[in-house]
Amino acid sequence: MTFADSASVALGLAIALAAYGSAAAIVGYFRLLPELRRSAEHAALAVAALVTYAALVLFGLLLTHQFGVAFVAEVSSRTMSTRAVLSAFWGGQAGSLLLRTWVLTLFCAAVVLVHRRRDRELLPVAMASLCVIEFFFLLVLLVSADPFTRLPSPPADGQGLNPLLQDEAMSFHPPLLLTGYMAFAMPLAIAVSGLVTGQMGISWLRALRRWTLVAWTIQGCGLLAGAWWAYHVLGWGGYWGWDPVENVALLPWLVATALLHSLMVQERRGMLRVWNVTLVASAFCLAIFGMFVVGSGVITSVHAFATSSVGPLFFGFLSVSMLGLVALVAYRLPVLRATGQFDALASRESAFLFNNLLLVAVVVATLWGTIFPMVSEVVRGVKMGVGPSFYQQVNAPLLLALVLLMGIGPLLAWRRTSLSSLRRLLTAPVLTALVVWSGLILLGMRQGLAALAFAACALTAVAIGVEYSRGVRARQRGGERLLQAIATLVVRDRRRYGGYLVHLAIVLIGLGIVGSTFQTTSEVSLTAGQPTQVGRYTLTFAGVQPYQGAGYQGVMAGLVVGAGNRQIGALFPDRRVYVHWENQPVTGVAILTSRPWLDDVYVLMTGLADDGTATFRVFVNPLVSLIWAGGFLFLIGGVILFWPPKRARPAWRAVQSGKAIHSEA
Amino acid sequence: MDVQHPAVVSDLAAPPGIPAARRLPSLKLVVAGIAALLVFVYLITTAMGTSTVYYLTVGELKAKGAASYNTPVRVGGRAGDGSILSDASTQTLRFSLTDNTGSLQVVYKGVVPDMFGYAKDGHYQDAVVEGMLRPDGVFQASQIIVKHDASFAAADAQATAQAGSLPANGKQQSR
Repeated sequence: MTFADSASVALGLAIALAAYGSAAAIVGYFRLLPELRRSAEHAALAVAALVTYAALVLFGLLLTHQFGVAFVAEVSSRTMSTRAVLSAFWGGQAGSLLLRTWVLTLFCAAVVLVHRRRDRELLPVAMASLCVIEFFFLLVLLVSADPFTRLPSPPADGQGLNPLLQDEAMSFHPPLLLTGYMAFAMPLAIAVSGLVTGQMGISWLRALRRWTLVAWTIQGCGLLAGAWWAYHVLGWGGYWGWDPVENVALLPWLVATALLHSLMVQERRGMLRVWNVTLVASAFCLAIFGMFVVGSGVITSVHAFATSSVGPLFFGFLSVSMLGLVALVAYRLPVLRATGQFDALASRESAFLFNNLLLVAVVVATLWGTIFPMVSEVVRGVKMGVGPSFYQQVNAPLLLALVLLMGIGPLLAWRRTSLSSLRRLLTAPVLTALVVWSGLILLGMRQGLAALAFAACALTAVAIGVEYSRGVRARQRGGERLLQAIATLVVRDRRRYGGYLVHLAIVLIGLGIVGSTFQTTSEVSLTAGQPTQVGRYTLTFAGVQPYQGAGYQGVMAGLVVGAGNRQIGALFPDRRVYVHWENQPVTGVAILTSRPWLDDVYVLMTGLADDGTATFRVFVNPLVSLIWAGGFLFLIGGVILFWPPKRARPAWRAVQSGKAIHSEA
Repeated sequence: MDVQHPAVVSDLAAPPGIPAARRLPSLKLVVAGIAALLVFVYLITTAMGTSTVYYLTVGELKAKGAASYNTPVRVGGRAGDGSILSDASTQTLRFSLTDNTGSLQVVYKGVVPDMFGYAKDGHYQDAVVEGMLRPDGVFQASQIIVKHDASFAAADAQATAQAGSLPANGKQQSR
């Protein structure tokens, strides 16, 4: 038995154990057999160990160039750098499925380990649900995309990964996004557990919120990493193209964003119960839908994936999940009735309601645009689709309203807000927004929507500032220094001030997105030593230099960038020809962010003539670097939100032990 | 024993005995909801009106003839062998796009995607062009999208997530 075969055996054992785990957890729960429940927990942990073993074997096979394994021969070659070989793991369908299965089993193990200690009553059904999902993914892996299939005669060298996928961003972008997709299984499992057992109280809400936060943070980072990759590697000057494959990754994230807000309404006011379980179920179904779209070729994407047998399996799983979830929610409708009601329009809960409606509108519009080619073909027999302008036109006003709401909402009190306090809190933000808006119009900005968007960002940023300064001033009165006051503020009330950090991150990202609509582009042919003017920047072409990279031959051009009579930096765009991929040269992007204007000077070398004349495409992308800055802030905010509160722990134990006494009684 | 009986409900979903308020939504709310829905539908329909693109085969486009002039369409096919001519000085690309229903002359100005013209197993990659048919019968492309061949298609979904956007994207051209 070879190394590869042992991994196949591990996967076979894993699928059997996943089936056993789900059955044992359910039977153990309903028949009150603690031994069986515990055995199910062990099974779930064993599945994680077995799939981890299989994943490590695949890493090993890739690193040692075992081209006898079909997958290894397909995605890697001897000339690729070690980093590229490692990321080839998810460079093909089979490996990407193994990665997804692997993280799913790790998540399931995490759920077991966490809820073994707290909220035990959630565990059996949650674990059973996760085991069912694991079973499905292992089935797909074994039936239609086994990465350990061997070739009858091993080739001397593998084909290697497409050069576009050999980039550094490949090491983190796909795993992040795939992990994010899978992470939506955890909130779903918690939700199913609540629906099946009927226990949907405060501890259930807390577990739901925390696991949703995990999925939401990871998927958010994955989306941003994808945008970063598109921007830095693909060289079309943009970061988001509203392609179906991008859209389907965005949808579950948007739904989770809505959920994180509406869960607070349920927590505080006991409302929106049905809505919230619907959102959890939708986020999960959209994640599965995303993987289905990507793997099946059912929607004409510019990516045009080959139709594979994975598609129907995912579609079947999606249909069964949707039916099952609808039935479960319908079954529990009586328990899900709201205990509170809306008191006033100017209240925190109605702000959350508007936030949800806007987010769901974005989701519906984006989903409609994405599936429109399919719908029009089925309904009217005509194949047609919508372009990026559809999404921009529909989503721009909705997102603008969301940014505004993000500024105003947190200033509103629960139940009802007095107009006088609202006026007091909103004065500074509204005045700033008016100044920004009129300033931009006076400076000659013609794009009315963009000016409004900048003003909305200003309003929200100042409103967040007001909230922070209120808290900080209160602490300073208690004798704390400024930085100390900010730190304690965030630590003491992580949910509130961490949330504001995420809001600030969204404002930064919004500024970057609006800024990038002012993109300018030009194409210039230059001989060595020749300067050219692009906007406020002077680019002087210094010459070209051939060089040798890992697995490729490159030619690099040097350009000196100046602004006014000051030199602000140099750019080195290149063209690379990879071994095995001689027909497909790769154009390397060079980007320089200018200070203080925050323009990205973005240069591609599109042609190089024999006489040394080089042709460059130059984009000037204002403010795009703010998107990446916002991304980092988003991650920090997400981690702060997730970080377990310190003082809650002893209280937890008390509740736990109290419950134990209660159940023994 | 740390096991809990399912019947022991530690956190009750709803306090028993207090019936949830089940009032009919006020008229104001209904009107506001309908108004919001109408605005949303209006947004969608106006945006659809200006951004829909027909997906046609070469044969279908030719059959439409004059009816398709100046309407944005998407046509898929493969660049014919030896047909790709590129003029570096004007950054203009000319090629014939062929599918099993015919062939079409295409002219394109802009950044050519890295993968365009990449030959494998003796033929070019499939490509999709978006643009309009000119009255002289030449297709003016505003965008070229290269489809990945089977081995690339098998490539991981997310990895290639934006790979297709690599062509000169819509952002660079005005529609």
